[in-house]
Amino acid sequence: MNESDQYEKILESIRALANDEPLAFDISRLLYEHNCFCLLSKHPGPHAYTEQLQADGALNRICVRERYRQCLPIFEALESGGISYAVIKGAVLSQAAYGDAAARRSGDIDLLISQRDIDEVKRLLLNDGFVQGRVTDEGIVPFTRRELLFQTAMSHQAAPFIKRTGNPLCPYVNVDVNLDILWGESETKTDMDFVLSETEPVDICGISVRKLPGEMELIALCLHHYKDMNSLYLLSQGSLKLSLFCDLYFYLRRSKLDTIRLKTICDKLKVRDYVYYCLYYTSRLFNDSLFGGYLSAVKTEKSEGILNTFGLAHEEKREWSLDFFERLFSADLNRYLSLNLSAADWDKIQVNREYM
Amino acid sequence: MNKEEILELLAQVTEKESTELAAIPEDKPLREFGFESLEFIRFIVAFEDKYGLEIRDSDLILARFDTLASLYSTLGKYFKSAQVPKKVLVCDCDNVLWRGVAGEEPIKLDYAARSLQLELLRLARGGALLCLCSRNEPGNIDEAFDTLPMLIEKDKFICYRIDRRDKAGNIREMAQELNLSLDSFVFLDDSPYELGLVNALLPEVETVRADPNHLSYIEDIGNRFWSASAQSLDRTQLYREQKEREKQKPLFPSVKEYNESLETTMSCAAASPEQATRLAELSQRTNQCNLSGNRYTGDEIKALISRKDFLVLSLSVADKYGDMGIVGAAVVRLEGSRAVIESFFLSCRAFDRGFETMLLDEIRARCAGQSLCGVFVLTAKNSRYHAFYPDNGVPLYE
Repeated sequence: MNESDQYEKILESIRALANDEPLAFDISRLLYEHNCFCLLSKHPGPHAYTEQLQADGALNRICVRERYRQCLPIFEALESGGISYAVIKGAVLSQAAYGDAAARRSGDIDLLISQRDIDEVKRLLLNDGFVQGRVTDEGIVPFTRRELLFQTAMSHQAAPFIKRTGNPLCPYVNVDVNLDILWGESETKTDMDFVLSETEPVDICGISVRKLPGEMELIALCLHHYKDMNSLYLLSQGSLKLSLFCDLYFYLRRSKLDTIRLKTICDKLKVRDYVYYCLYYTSRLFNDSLFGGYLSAVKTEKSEGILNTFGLAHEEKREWSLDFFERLFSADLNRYLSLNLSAADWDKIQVNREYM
Repeated sequence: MNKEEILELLAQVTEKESTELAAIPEDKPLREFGFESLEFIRFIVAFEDKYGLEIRDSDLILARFDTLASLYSTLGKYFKSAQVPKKVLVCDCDNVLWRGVAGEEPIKLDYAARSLQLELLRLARGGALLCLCSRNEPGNIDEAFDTLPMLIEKDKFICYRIDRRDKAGNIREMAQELNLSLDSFVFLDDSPYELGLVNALLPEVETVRADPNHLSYIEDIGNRFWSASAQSLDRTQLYREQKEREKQKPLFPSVKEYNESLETTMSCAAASPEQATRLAELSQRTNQCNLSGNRYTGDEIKALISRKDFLVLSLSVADKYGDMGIVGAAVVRLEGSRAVIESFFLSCRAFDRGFETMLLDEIRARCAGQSLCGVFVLTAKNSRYHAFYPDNGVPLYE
């Protein structure tokens, strides 16, 4: 079977699993390697990952509960202090896309706030025992000032906040504070007051937190996943995964979004092409008619122009010479990148590895 | 710090000539002249090292360092400590807190109004006192607060004047009510007339025009106040409690009886390093009862606490209306047989209750056997206390 036929078989199997149809081809390994645990849980078994999946799933559920329990004082302080925030990705996304806060694996809690509130949110977290640092065998090692500066200035988020929990199954809780829904390299900054102007409550493991409303949540998700699909540094870390597209597809399947509102918000944030990029490739994977309305709503004259390209900053953007399915399913993407990135690209990747 | 110093440091980090940097137009993006993001990180590190301070995370976005103009503006904020810190924001209502005139036309919260309200909440959390001053009818203002989806509630404003009188007079009254000097006030209004009137009659008050088409005024306001990061006090609540105390005062013939009626408890002790931030803040905020005019940073206070030749005292007070926290402090230099009171602070919230005498008595007790003298340096604000040391039998330090 040649590669093209093989990719076709994989696609058929993914679509069959998504629609609870019989499966003719075992793709459990691919799903595991692509972090598609929700599809993997639908995969007929037993297979090589059945036990691992159950164990990981149970542990993830414990960790989600522990993280939210540990962060309850922070959520309460944000609420009582009138600080606008939303929890994005992680368990909130898992609940919205898969109907279960623990269905999707996550390692942290992501808060989205306005840049103007970062000093206060940082104070809240530090007062609650969080440390900006990394977990090592010796425990939490605080970042150096240079690392803190680099992470805060060069990315869209503050350096991670970590706290010891006392729970051996989930020894640390990690909070990422996001200051923008665009990426750090972006030359434009999002109007975060607008993004956070209409948050809504959601219950995660019995704890009430704020989330973005549907259309805004989809946009934030697209922009986050667009970064994973395009950042040279993240691509070199293996960020192009099937799970990105699963998140988007299952999110749309479970949501009733207003396409006019989606378009209006995209226009206001000037992100229609990025959203189109993500939805376009998701539609190619899942080939579902539900995409039609969304794609028409967000498509612009320039949308097609960024398809089949990668790179976030304008000057680093380039064309893929691999077909979408080939770059997604091929095991040789790193080799491709090593042959196609310049020395300057690798320098940049090295700087990111050093500080991030 | 001035522009030349910033350019000099930038030149060192980027290995460029400072004359070359000075020739760059201030509003041009620096990246057009070959500056890379990493160089800015190195510059910030060098800046922090040189001046011994830490840039706040809220300033750590590269856009703030994108042009020389934004570089000067962002970094300039860190050198304003010598200026009188602002404590009170007096805010107009119509076309400022909301769009439209309440009672006359439909009013709504637009983006500018929401952004301002978010900033007001942030300032209040950081210890700023918010006041309202409007020439509209009280009923219209109340109705606006009740019916609009306001982000900030009316009880966040410590006092208000909503009447037809001129705003300068009303601001003067509020300053008396809060026992704060007018130069700690900022007045926000959309009307050039009102702003001009306050400028003319109360030149000490800084004025800011609320322009919904140019929202930079919101950041401008924020820059005039203290950062929230070091704060832990709900200052609005403290002043509200203070107003309750003041109401009781005329009922008692002596300070002692007044304190007893308030069930006052006082604690005066050697300061701990954990109190350094609050003590530094007290030194920075206190003007009227700051006898030497000294100001300290948290690190300076910590250093003094650790030294054997210095005594740092803190005075905390609580009563039936609430915990007032640390309201007084003193820094005493111990010179063998002599003890010199280098700094003596008392918050204006704690005036006229005899606490300054209690703090002085504590210094006397701890320096028993040493001759005591006090440093008094006349400032624009502390003349009320010019005779404090002599009146209490403490010679002035020569």
